[in-house]
Amino acid sequence: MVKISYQQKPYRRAIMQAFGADVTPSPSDKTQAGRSILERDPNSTGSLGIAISEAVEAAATSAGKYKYSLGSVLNHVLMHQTVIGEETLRQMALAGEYPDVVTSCIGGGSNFGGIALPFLRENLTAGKKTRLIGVEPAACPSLTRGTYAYDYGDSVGLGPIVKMYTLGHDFVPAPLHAGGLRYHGMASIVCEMYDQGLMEAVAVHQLETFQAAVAFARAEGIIPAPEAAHGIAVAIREALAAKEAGDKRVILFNLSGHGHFDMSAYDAYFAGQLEDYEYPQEEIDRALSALPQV
Amino acid sequence: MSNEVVRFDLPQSEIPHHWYNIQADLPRPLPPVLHPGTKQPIGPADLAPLFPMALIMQEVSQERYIEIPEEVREIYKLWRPTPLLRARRLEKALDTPAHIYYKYEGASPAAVTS
Ligand SMILES: Cc1ncc(COP(=O)(O)O)c(C=O)c1O
Repeated sequence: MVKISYQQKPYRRAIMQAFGADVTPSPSDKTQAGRSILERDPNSTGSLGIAISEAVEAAATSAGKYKYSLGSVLNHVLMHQTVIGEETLRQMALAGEYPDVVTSCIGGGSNFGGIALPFLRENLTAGKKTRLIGVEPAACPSLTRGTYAYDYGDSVGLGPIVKMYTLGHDFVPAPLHAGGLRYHGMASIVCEMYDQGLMEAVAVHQLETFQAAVAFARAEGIIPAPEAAHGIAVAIREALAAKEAGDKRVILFNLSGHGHFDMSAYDAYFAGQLEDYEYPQEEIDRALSALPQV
Repeated sequence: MSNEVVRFDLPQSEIPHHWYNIQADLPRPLPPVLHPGTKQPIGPADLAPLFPMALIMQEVSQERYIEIPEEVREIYKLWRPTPLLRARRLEKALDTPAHIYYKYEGASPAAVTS
């Protein structure tokens, strides 16, 4: 588990322990990858890319005892999540409507893939014209500001090289950013959808996402995960655009999780401690020079 | 109480039987994944130390639908199907003619742990 999350989100760690996991903060001294990061930066708070390097190494050197299980990004993970969209298609039919817009947050792409891919099938094979919108944080704008190139999926370069919209495999997110979605790359499927013009992408700042989260919670009684609030922010933008245009748009978003374990992020928001953060262009340019040569 | 419906539920018998694989329908295929050492396209054998073979085969499959194993559907039964809701109160708060729906995945134990 990424060290900063291990420290800031102790209840997520405890949930994993409740289900029987041993949880190690990353970077750790248990792997070569972790040790090499700690050597360079003993105070590293980690990143998803570093944690993936450690997990890949642990699996690869276990002589078959352990496998690496990834919760997003990979084709099969997005495919497993399509149960979300398949159920929704039938439920929209129960409601007697069909969405003009489908949106959700994108971190690695799994919950977006889950809700959007069955609707993409309908666009591609049944003549539907639903707009599919992935929403990322302005602090980690892989699709909207990254480059579509071959890059490592992990920070140390142990794992496969994947063509994706990337901010560079040594990307380390701003600690001020509270809303998750901090992976430097993006699912290959989502990248191809974007590149082929089959979806749209929008980057939103964190204050707008928390405003949207609070508006949603007060109206609907569910406190959303800050990640999911990115999708809500764009659903609200679309609803306001529909009002402006005077049309009866049908908007669907995926509420990928509740925020009960993220109340410290809400706390920081209510205390006025969160700021918007635009990922700097110099960082993007620097990362491009570190892409693997293929 | 008005008779405006806000929640659309499916019975458990309608838990999907298949996962949908977009690779069957993408206009252009996904670019190949490369080996970090050789920088050549990777094959199932290269991935075997990292992933179970069944998942490797799903990763590269071009089949449109892949049957969900019975054991997995049994576990889905613990929280699926998840509800679809219409956010009528949010629509009113925004004073919008749009209809807003959301699929609520918050009951899944996997939805809160990353
Ligand atoms: C509730 C929730 N939604 C969404 C995400 C983003 O992941 P993905 O893009 O794979 O759905 C996360 C991961 O951090 C999450 O915890």
